[in-house]
Amino acid sequence: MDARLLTIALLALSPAPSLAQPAAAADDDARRWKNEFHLKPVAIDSTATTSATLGLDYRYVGTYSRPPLKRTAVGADEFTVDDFAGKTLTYAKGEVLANGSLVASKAKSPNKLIELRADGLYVRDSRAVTLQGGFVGKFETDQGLDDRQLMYGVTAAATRFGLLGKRGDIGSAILSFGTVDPSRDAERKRLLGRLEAYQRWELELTYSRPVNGVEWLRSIDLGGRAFKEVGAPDAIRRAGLHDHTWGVLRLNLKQPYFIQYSGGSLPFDKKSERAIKAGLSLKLD
Amino acid sequence: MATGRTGRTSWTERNMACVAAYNILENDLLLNQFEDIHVPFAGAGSRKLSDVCAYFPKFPVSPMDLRGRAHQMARQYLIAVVKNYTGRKEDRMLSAEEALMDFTALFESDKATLLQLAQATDDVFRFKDE
Repeated sequence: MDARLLTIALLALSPAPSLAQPAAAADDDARRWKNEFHLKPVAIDSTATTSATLGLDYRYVGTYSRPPLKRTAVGADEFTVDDFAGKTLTYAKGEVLANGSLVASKAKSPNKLIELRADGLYVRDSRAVTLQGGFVGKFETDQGLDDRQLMYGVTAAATRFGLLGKRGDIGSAILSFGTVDPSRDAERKRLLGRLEAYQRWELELTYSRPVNGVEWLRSIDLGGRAFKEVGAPDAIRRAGLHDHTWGVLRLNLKQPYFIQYSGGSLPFDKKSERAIKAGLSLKLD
Repeated sequence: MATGRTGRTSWTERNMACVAAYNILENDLLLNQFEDIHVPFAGAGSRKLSDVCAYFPKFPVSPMDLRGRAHQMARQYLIAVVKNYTGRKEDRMLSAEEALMDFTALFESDKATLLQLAQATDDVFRFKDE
């Protein structure tokens, strides 16, 4: 690990409820349509920079859900365990998402990728696993909006409680495949002479688990993302732009402290970066 | 909807819904989401599920990921309520699917508190102290 990474000083104020504005909605509407918007000030130091930089992590999610296809236990005096353990819940939903970091200097961002996403999904939830599948479209750009591309394709996800046998742990796997249509990509154009659509696999794995009996450590989060271009031209391969992998490990310490290490590259990153966030979460409300 | 009567439950050990919500999330044999040394019962009502529970990822993830986690948690939570406390319904016309959707929304929100979870539990289930 870069020695400088060990001397990181970073403060992340999160989450900031006074900045978060979930939309008010009537009860009936809330089940169908939901908005959430969050801003979180952060400071980041990484191998990309010689000094720390300030920024904002942001996240917007709007979700529309159709009512469940079935209604069981209606008219009964009691719910039984089987009502929740033995039955499958199915419904359709659509959502839009904006997710990323805004930094004071785009050159100082450890990862450049900004995503705007929309999807339409079918959800099949059972006690054993929650499955989701459908169509996804994404607008991907970098911090300076210099490079831009559309991605559209199919996606599927599986999530399970008790994934690795530890009581309380949970994890997800999300696999997507689609066409990437770059409208502006200076590096790709320089290498190929022109911009053409290509196909790409994308895999995302996450895992979270509680830690019992350790006073200073509450839980652990792990995450990873991998992107792989199908049939990438030699010039793209030689430049190392045909695949990207990125991972994060976060130790959630005794509140409000945490340590987070991330490394790797995402689309639009020309090389791998590593970054540590070590800080605390403060309640501002 | 199950969470429609929010505001009438206060966070106290005398309220079975609060006790149920806390114990189910804390107990190592149930959902095991936090330790009581980190989240004591007193004052836990104002704590956010997203802050204190291990299931809620603390770094940005796909909305599909968060939704899946919330579904799994809602199902495990409701099973634990029925197994360990009560299955008696406050509203006979409430379906299991509606209850699952309502609790999924709570577990998916990064603003929902333990008190709101207890209120939703109180709205759906009739406890022995009622």
